[in-house]
Formats: sequence, structure tokens, C-alpha cells
Amino acid sequence: MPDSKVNTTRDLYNELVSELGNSSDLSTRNCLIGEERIPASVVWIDGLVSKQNLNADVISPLISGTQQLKLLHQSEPPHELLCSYILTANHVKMVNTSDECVPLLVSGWTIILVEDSEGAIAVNTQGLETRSIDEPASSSVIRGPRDGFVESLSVNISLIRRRIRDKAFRVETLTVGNLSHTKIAMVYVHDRADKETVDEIRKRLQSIDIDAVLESHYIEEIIKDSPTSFFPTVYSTERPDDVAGIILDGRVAIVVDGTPFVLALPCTLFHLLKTTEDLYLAYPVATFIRWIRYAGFFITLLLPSTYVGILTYHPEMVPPQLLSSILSSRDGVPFPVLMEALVMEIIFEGLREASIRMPRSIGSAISIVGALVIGESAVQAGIISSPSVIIVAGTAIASFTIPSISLSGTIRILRFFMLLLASLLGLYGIIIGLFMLGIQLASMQSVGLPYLSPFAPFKKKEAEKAIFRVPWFTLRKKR
Amino acid sequence: MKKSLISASQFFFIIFVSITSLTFFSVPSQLIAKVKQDLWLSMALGAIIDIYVAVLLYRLGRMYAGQSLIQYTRSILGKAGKVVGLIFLLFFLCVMVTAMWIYSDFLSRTLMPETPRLVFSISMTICAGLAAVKGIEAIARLSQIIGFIILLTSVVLFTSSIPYIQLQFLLPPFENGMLPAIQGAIYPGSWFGICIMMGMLMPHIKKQSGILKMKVYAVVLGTSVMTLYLLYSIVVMGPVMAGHFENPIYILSRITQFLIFERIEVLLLLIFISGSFITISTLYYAVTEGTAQWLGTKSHKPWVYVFGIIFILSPMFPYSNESYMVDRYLSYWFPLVSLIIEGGFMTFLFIWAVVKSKVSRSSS
Repeated sequence: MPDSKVNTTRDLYNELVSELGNSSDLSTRNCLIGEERIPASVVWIDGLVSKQNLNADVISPLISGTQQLKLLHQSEPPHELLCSYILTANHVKMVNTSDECVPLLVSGWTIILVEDSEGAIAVNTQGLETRSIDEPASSSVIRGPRDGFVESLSVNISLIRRRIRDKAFRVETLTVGNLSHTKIAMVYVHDRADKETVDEIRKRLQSIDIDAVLESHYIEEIIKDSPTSFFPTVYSTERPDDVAGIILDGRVAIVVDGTPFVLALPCTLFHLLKTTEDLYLAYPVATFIRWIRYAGFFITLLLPSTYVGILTYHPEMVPPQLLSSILSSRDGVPFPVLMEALVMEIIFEGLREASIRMPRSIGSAISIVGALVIGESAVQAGIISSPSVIIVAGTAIASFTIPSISLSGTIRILRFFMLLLASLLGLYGIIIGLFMLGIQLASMQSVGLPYLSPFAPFKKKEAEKAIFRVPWFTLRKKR
Repeated sequence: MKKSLISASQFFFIIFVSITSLTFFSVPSQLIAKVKQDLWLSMALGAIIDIYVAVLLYRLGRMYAGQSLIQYTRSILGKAGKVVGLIFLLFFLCVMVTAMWIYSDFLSRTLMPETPRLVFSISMTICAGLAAVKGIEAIARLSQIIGFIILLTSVVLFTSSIPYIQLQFLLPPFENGMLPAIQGAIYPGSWFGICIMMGMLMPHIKKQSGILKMKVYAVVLGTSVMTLYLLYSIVVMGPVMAGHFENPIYILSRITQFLIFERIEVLLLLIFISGSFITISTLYYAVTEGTAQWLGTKSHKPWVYVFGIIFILSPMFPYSNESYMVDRYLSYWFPLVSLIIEGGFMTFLFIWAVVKSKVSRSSS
């Protein structure tokens, strides 16, 4: 017990008001209840409660339901009588101190204070306005469910739960944030998730110390392994079917209140290159698309640097005809290859950023400017050579095939790093860059799972599943 | 700190990659020029020397489970073991410096002639140092990927150069008798013997019982792949021409075509560079960990920086521009010293250990 001193009702009310600093969204409804006309106050915070529930479950039964009822000098104390006899809300509990009241009040509960009796009644009338469930903007599918997560924790959990209706489905809730008191929930399937993983994640979540959590990325950055690395070691998704698949795989999802992005752990490089849609398409098609995605990963990372490296240091590798056509179109271009590639890549990144922030109606203007001014005119004016434009465009397309936004961002940054190495040392520079990248990736882990698994360390079954989309009929029914 | 562990198959790949890349960079010119078409015998003998050392290391490792080469040398020989341990460490160091020297010398002559050798040693030392800091687990994981790539490239290269083969170059066998081939075994033997670093890796391997089998497989596979490479360069170019080039395998890839790309030798070189990256990182790790164990320091990491300076400077060693001295060192002193240490010291150590355990058993 934090404070064993029992307050009288009036004290409690004043304390509540002063703790919330006379905040103007604190609403009070005073009324007289019972045959004895006892003064009572109903306190709530505007906007957090559902007005309809408040009226139907609290205020109207309190006033009209108690008119014929003697509240005082009964076998039960008045509070209990009200709770069990009058109030029709689904969740009611007794509170004694303001320390208990305030957290409930700010999360949308209503407090009823009755004169001359100890403590208060808290009634759950939570009713936040939420967005309706619609298709996630960050990942759309051709085939597959179209519902996406919303900003409410309970709705999100229900979206997952309705896909896995089993008793092994577990939800563990905890509150994070000294000021925001954000609810987060760990979701996993009990007998599939590795116990050590679950314990480790729980330990990390419990040790979070932060002021406020406004988005799940706050949590991600705190709990992720190798925090200094560029690579994401936590998966995030907006799709309930994705999360359902993840927890069926024995991984753990973390749902954060207030954001549609749900985190999942552990997460390896190959998890980031898979999509849920792989499982909804015919297996040959899905396998093919997955390979294109893997290729896209390497093309994004290496295409511009290989172009620069080969043209500057190893032109003999290119077949003569190809080389001559590249060189003839570079004729008269005033910049070195590196400069061309670097400038074009940066312009592309700029265009990309601009088109995200723009309203949709102006978005088309951006693409016209990009395509016309940079694509056409720069080449025609002889400032940029067309092979460079082709390389940059190819890289751009490849970068769009990477499904994870965070991974694609990482690769796009590392691309510049590779470009610099290639300009210094040619292909040798690229391979040196790949060594550094490789050793970094090989030493990384995500909650105990090596980042490059199932290839390094090699696990045959899982590697097959990562390379091919194995059709369901060849898989066993149970793990 | 948790002890880092690698699996037997990762160990397999480390050894395989080390053998192929070391052979690629250091053996061909000496072997092809002197032994020609009989080099397979030299390679086979080299492999046998290596397997012999491996058996000794394995038995010693099992006898002193959980201890590395440096540690059990001390347990076996007591005070004198400190000295022998130092010799092993110096040998590792010498091997690394030599490997780094060959590596940067070769690259500066073939890949990028205008770049100073120091650039190659610096870049490789940085990468390998990073790997040594990250530990054997990361190196082992990467070796799986790189080993697979080496195997794949070898298969592609072998199949794509089938049209150029002229088998008569392999005849006649044993033109000058068996002797040159047997003498030639000293080159692959000395380099394969680097797998003495197995003694450093053994305590890190999860399943101890399968090590010897894996090691033998890796040696056999690595040797056969490299023997194929060497024989291929002879059957494609002829022994006379192949003997003239400094690195016939490199030239071999220049002759063959792959799809539309004609000169893929740079790609082949890059792949073997990644092989030497694994080798050098493993050696680097072995040296630093061995030093840490020898001196009893807690972590091997500070030594990574100390040795890093030596490795960076390895292409600058005196006499490195006098080709006579270099040739004398590579084809006489280095094989001699490494055979003495790998074969001689290990045998001696093993016999001593066996005698010691017999004596202690009979006395108790």
C-alpha cells in the first residue's frame, strides 16, 4: 500500500483536482443519489471516455436507478451496493487513494465519489476515438487480407487473436514510459516460442526507462541487439496476418499502443527480405519473386559501385562492344564517373524524399520534374551520360523491391559507402567493403539468433525454406 | 564472457578455404615450374603430411580437452613449454607476415600495378583485425558462405574451360623419375601445415569427436580442388607456358570465357582474396588469442591492435625488393622452418605427452 491514510470523499476529490492541476478537460457531474439524497460526484476526463457508455452505464443508473433505494445502514456498504446492484458497466473496481485514481482516470475510467463513505468507485468507460481498420499504407498486397493494424492496442491484439484461436496464444501487457504510460503487449504462442527468447525479450522490455513512447520505434531502438549497427534487428509490420505468421513461427511480437506498427523478434536478414504475400501466391511464382528480391538487395548495394569500379579500374572486363558504346555516350561529359554516379544517386534520394512529403496532387509534378529535367535534359545537354542514368534508375527499381523500409534505408546508405570504396580501390575496394559488411553481419545476433542464419550458420531445412517458397503440401502438418 | 563455439562444419569450411586460398597465392609458381605434370603426387604428399600433423593435434587436443595448443604445450612440457609456445607464436606470426607479404605483393603486381603494396596490407589488416575482434564465431560463419562461393566458382570455371583441354600435356608421367615430385611436396606441405592453427581452434569446436574426420575431409577436398586447378592450367596452357607465369591459375581464368564476360580473372582473384581474408583472419585470431594465453592476459583484443601494426608493415620488410632473397626465403627457408615446426615439434610434443601420461599412469 503506497498510502494507508484513508481519505474522506471531499478530500479525495480535491486531491484529484489538484493532482491534475485543475486541468480543464477534467469534467465533474454532481448529483444526489439514493432515497437519502446523498451528494455524489462523477469525475472523468473528456475525450477519453465514451459519452454513450458514461450516460448509459454510470450516470443514468446512478440517478434514476437509486431513487427507491436505501443506501445507508444496509448490510453492505453503499459502494459495494452501487457496484453490484446499480452500475451496469463491464468493469468496476474500488479505489482508496488518489494515487490509485489518477492512472485510471487518465486512461479513460470514470471515478464516482460518494459523500461520507470511504474511497471511491472506478468504472471502466474507456472509449477512445480510433481510426477504422483499413488497408495498411506501407505494405499493400495483390492477394491476401486487407486489414491493417490501427492505433489501438486492444483492437490490434483482437486482430491477431482472431487469426489464432488457440489456448496457447499468450498476451502479456506492461506499461512503459514515465510520462506517457504507454501500454505495450508481448504476444506469442506459448508452446512454439522458445522460452529463453521470451524471457530475454520480457527482461529487455521491463528494463526500458524512457519518458514517452510515441511510436514502436522508440522501443525498437532500446531493445534491439547491436544498437550501433545500421541494420535493423527488429522486424516491424502493419499487417495482422504477417504478425500471426510470425508468432506461429515461434517468434515474439510486441504491440505498442498508439501505433499501427507492430514489432517482431528475433529478426534476421532473411526475415526482412520475405513478405507475407510469398505464402499467398503459387510456390513457383513466389520463389521467383523472392529471388528477384534477393537480387534487388545486392543490386541496390553494388550496382553503382561496380559500375564506377569497373569503368575506372578494370575496363578490360567489359566486352569491347559494350565498352565502346558506354564510352561514346560518355563523350563530352565533363565529370568523372564517380561524380556522375554520386550526384545522380543523391538527386534520386532527394526526389524520393520529396515525393513522400508531398500531397498526392503535387506528387505527379515531382515525377515530371524528375523524369524530364534530370532524365532527359541532363543527358541531352551532355552533362550526365545516359549509362549513369540507367544505372541509377536500375538501382532505384532494385531498392524498391526490398520489402522492409528500414532495411532498404540501410542498404541505400551503404551504397554510398561502397561507391566511395570503389572509386578509391576499384573492385578490390568493393570486396574490402563486403568483408567489413560480412564480418559485421556475421557477428550480429537478434535475441540469440545469428543474423545471417539460416545460411551462416547453415541449417539445411531452414535454408531451403529461405531460398524456395516450399509448397504447403510438402511440409508436415505440425512443426 | 561466454566462450565462442563453432560447429564442425564451420571448421570444415575454415580449413577448406584456408587450404585453397593459401595454395592459390603461394604454391603454383614453384610447383608447376619444378614438378610439372606430376604435381598431383606432390599435392597428395603435402596433404598426407598435413593429415599426419592433424592426427597429432587431434590426439593432443583430446588428451588435453578444452586447452589450446599454447596451453597444452605448457601443461606437457612445464617451464620449457613456455619457450616452445613462444616458438609456435613466432611461427604463426612469421606465417602471417609471409602470407600478407605474398598477398600484397601479388595484388600489387597483378590487380592494381600502380597501387603501393601498403594499401593492400592496410586494407586487409583492417578487415582481418575487425574479424579478429569480432571473434572466431563470426569468421566461421562467413567462411561457410565464402567456402561455398569458392566451390561454386571452381565448378563453373572447370566446366567452362573443358573445351580448351589438351590432355597430352599430362604425359608422360614421371618424366624425371619420382624424385622431383617428392621433393616438391615440401611446398604444399609447408603451407598446408598452417592448419596447425587447428590446435588453436579445437577448444572452440562444439563436437570434439568429429573434428578429425572433418579436418581430413577438408584437406582432401581442398587439395583435390587445388590440384585440379593446377592440372587444368597445365592441360590448358602446357607445362612450359604454365611454368613461366607467376600464377598460372590466374592466367587460366583469363583464357576461359564466362557468358559474355571475357576477362573474368579479376572475379576469380576477388574470390580467392575472400579466401585469404578468412585465412588471415583466422590466423590473426589464433595469434592474438595464443599471445593472450601465453601471457595470461584476459582478452585477446588489445593484441589485435599490437599485431595490426606489424601486419600492416609486412610488405615493407627488408630485402622484400630483392627477388633473390625473397625466392630463397620462400622456396628454402620458409618450407624448412615450417616443416621442422609442424612435423618435428608436433611429433616431439606428442611423444612426450604420451610418455608423460604413461609414466603418470604407471606411478599412480
